[in-house]
Amino acid sequence: MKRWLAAFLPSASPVAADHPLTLADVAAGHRARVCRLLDVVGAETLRERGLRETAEVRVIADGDPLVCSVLGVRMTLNRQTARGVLVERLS
Amino acid sequence: MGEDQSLRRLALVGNPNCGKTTLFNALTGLRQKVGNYPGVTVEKKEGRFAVGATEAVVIDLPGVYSLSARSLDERITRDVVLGRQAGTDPPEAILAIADASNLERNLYLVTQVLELGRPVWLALNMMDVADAKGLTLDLERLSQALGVPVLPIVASKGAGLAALRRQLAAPLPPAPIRRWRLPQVIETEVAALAQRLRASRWADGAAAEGEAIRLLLNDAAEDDPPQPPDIQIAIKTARERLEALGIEWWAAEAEGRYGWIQTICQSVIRQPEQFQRTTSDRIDAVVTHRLWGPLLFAGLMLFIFQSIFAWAQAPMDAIGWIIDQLSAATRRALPSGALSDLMADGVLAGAGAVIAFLPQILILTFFIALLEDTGYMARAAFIMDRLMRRVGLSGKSFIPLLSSFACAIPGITATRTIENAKDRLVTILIAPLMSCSARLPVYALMIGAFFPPNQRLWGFLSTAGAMLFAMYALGIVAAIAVGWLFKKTLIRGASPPLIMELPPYRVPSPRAVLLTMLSAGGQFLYRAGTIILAISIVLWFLATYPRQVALSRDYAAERSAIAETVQRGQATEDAAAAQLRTLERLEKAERREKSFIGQAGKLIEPLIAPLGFNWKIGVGVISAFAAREVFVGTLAIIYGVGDDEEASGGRALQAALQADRYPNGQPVFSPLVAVSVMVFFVLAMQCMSTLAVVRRETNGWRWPAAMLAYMTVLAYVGSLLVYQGGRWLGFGN
Repeated sequence: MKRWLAAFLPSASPVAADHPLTLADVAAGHRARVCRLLDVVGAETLRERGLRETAEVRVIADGDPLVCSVLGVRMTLNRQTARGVLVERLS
Repeated sequence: MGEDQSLRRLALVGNPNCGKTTLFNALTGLRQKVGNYPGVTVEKKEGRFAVGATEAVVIDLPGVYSLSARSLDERITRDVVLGRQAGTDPPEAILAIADASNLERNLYLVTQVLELGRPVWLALNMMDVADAKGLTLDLERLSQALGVPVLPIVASKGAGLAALRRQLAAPLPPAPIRRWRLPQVIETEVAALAQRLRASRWADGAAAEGEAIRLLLNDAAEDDPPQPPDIQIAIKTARERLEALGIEWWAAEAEGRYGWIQTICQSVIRQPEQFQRTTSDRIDAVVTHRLWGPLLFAGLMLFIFQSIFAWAQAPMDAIGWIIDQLSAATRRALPSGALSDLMADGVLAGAGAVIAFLPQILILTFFIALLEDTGYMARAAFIMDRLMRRVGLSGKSFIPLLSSFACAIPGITATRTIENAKDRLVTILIAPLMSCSARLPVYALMIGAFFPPNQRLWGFLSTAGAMLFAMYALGIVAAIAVGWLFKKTLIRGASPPLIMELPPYRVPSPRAVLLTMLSAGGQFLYRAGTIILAISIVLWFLATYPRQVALSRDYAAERSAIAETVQRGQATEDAAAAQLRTLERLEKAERREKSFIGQAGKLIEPLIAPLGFNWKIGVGVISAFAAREVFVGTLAIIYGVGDDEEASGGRALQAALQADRYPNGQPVFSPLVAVSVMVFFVLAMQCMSTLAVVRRETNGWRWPAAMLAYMTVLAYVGSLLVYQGGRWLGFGN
């Protein structure tokens, strides 16, 4: 039952200090640049939609799934997929 | 395909939500539903329009993001444009359409289209939106960079269409050539593979290079379509050579294309420097919020179901009144006899009882069209993703499920946007559990009769609306539970990631909403005028014959006796008339019970009695396997609603259901029986058309048969649990 209820509750994933920064770690309202896409399921789809190395991303909502803006288009993806997108923060 | 070869044949290709269907409608004048969530156009559609002195045929292809062919939609688009789609002539030229306000992302597909070896025009749509965003586009420079004519349009307002038509009527432009380059080592491999494709006639001259890029650099293209063994080996060895050099070939295509697109956009687009928070961003802050999003979604659904009851009653009564007037006029115009009975008790009572629910169908369709047209559907999928993930599906499966609220058929067709084959199959199998509009008349009849509209929950929520909401919610819960079961047993597979575009919110087009409502209303009336009418006539015959049956009482003698009491002054005329009416009702009820349909109903009664159903409900349920709405018409015929002179339309049937009694005086219907009937309808597979579409989408009868079997068992068990459980808990008979 707890697992089902959890589907509707906010999720939080603490970032370890030695853990490379991923799109899943970027808070809503912040921007980042994609450094590398790991070999995760859906990586090709992300590249085709413009979420590729060097692309700028703005995170709009940081839940699961999260919402981000790439090339001016709002896109939603699961946190698990977002963890395969390594990024660097932009000021 | 035997088509006039002089016709210009065009394919319309573009991303989802770029206005492609709107342009198709504007060019051809064909009516087609326009939605606002990714992948609404799932059928291949063709239309004709004048180009100069001749005509052109345009194929409206599904909206796709690339030609990599990961989903069925993408495969259809790729196969049509490459001339590989069976039953479709290859297009002579391609009309690409792109959203001018999101040019960079839209150009990705356009660059793939430019490599098909066919003439291309690029229609830049939504120029007004680009203007509103402060974007300035240098179209001349864009045309030069891409090597194709570029035409600005606003398809929704018809702007730029005259110039576009003129261009399409002019001589074909030359086929463009590829102007972007991959790293040299990859270019060498592409050239070698293209040469091999030309030699084996796998791809023709101009398109071979583009096809080589697709096959070499796209892992989705590995086995689709199956390639000759020598080509497969060539692709494999080429990739191995690239990997040995440390080259990530899988990232090269997106890098190369976007790199070129970025260069073009930098020289073509002037945009405001500062980031602007859009209205869509502000709305999404609430609609996609972790807490407010699901609450808003549930509230919206509740509001819709409350509105269906609150707004429909007056027009329903009006339709009922019209049907009564027609019935009375028929009885006056025709001599008393079988034909008059057939018209009044069969045609008008049966089909008429169904037609009375047209307002509710229109209200439901209005809301669904509004949700699609505003862009909310994609947000609903987003909200439901976490729950869907728990059952092994992604939120993307929820869009076809939501569409199934109107009708399972477009919902099942919309599953073509789901890339994962197993997920697509599971979504198809659970889509008919969502309450379609054909179930609405059944719910409305039961709720209207046994859950009074003035009854309130917590003082503000109508019980009727809440009950309707509960039935729709049961469909969703059942779909999710069955989906989970399928994914755990027969159709195992990992949960795919959700990667989905959230289109910008748009003010819904009144024309599109109206067209959707008219289309749904038209289909409903068509069914009422064809299958439901035909079944009504057959049912009337079965409920009326045989005429010569042994009756329990001598009704003729009793009528004479009543007439004599009036003549002797022992009873008033009014009292005698009331007695005669009661006697007539009793006779008709007994005749129906002894009719063909009554006999058949009695035969199945022991099987359905544990669900709280008597033989009349049983006959209704069985006749509804042809089409769900028939249930209402069947009950109207069995209960002889056409004879009723005191109540009208749906209210007459409700009154008849409330008054029906078993021989021991116990009411046949109660709120518990009504819920049991509705639960049966929520869970049962009672639609021949849906089974036929599932057969088409799954290429065989195996899955439609499985669907029919599991849903019938589920409906029986669900209804049994509700009725027996309800009785055990003391909720009446």
